[in-house]
Amino acid sequence: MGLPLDYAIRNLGRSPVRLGLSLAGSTLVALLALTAAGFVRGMDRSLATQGSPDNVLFYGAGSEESIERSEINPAVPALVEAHVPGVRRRAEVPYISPEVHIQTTVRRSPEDPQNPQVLVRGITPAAWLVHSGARVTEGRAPEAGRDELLVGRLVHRRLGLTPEELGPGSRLWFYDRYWTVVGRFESAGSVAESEIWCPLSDLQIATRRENLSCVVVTFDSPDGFDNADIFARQRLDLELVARREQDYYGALARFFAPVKLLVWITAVLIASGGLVGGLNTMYAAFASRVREVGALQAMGFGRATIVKSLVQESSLAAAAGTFVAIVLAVLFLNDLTVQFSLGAFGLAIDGVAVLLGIAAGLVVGICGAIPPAIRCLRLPITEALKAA
Amino acid sequence: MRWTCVSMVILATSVLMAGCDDPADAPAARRGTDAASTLPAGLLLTAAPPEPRNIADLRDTARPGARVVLRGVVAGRAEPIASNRAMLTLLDAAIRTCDSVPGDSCPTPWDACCEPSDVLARHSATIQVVDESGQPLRVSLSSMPGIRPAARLVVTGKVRSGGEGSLVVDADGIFVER
Repeated sequence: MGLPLDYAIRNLGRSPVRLGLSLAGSTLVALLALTAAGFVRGMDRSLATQGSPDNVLFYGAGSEESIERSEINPAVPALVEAHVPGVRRRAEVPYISPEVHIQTTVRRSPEDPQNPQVLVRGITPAAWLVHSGARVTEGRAPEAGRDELLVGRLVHRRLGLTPEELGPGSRLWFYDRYWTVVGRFESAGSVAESEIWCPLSDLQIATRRENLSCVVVTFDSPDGFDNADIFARQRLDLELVARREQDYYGALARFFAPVKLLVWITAVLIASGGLVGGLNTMYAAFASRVREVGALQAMGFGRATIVKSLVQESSLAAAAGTFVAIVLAVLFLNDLTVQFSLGAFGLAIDGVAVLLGIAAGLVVGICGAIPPAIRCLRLPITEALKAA
Repeated sequence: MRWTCVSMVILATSVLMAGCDDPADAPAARRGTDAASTLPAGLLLTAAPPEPRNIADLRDTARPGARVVLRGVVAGRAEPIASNRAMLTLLDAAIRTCDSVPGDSCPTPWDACCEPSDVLARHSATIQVVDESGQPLRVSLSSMPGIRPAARLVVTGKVRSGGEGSLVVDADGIFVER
């Protein structure tokens, strides 16, 4: 014969203080799990969505670790168009995007004491072909020759401004001149959202450089990489390397693997503290109910049945705490901007993160109840009935 | 009625079977164009060809179609051997690689990153093994014994392109120096 679920539910209300402590403990543990998972998922998403399977990057040999250090011949886009088969085209326009990537200090004015580093990308209209996830969400695309620029959705965070302060019409200062913000863009959650995009020719004039950082090419199929690699290996005079865009950003993601591991370790350590706190609460809760448990045993309820009921009770409290944590995470943590060396990304409280939060809550509910329940049931029935 | 039912069952079975690809057939169909090639039998030489020349010397004089013998090291970039094409980058042995610099702990010393890139370009050649259409074979030269980054080679072959641009040689013989 089992104890009714109603028994476990009613027991929860017997001590509102203890219930509150249990709720707070499980909420904290689940919230930590959600935050850690949201951080890792957000970072992965920002780097994964940056790379398209059909895109190949041409950049300088010897600059494999960072495109910003790369300098390649400005004739490369034309040479690629002429000699590399399989490049995707639309209305005879090839998907070949010459780009300059520069990490530089961007201020609101020359007197601004802040020194935030932002990646500025010089582009041509072909960038909108190869970076298919990017789109202008506010304002318009910048025009060459007018020192105009587009800001990514998360750039304001890098600059310590509000989105409104960095809207169309505002101005930024870098490379000894003012640039006018004419719009905002997003890029499917990738790190490009913390970049500034401006016309390639304007950036080349401002930086007094003629060469490019890289050329991004979209092929008709992922097999196009072979053609790109043959071209780069045969034209040693161009000092080029061809690499799949996904591989480049995959390598960057691997570079940040220790950071993600550190986040998980920190979350587990703090969550362990929460779990121990929960255990303590449950020990106290069950210790005061030794006589009640003894009475249940005297009435004929088996030990397994009693443990099951106690676990139900603990799990219910943990589930409620987890629910609160999920609501808090979705409302306040989802898409919260986190800055890192490559730019910024938003915490991603997605399905996987929620599942991990629920799992953490369940662990608290089950593991938090079993040891105190066993301790409670260890006493002989006669002694338990006499307990204070 | 019974024949109608039987016909419908046969028709449905045929449609289902036609709609299902045999998974084993799919790669075979693709292999028609993407098949991995095999390297020519006599490509690996057992004796060093005589009178090998430096890449930098050949670079200025070699004309397309000329037969050449050149010596060098599999080096000049982080991945000097292509992973799925019969191509490698050969660098003049005179160019120092990072392992010759005291205290350098570069994980890929053969990329010679301690040398200026224009020097590397001038002293490098692309060695490839091609099919009848002139395309590099779909097989990595690393499948040949002894061919790995930093290996010293003597290569015989025909110049595909040279002069002002880069030196590309269609190899027909490769000797690995021990």
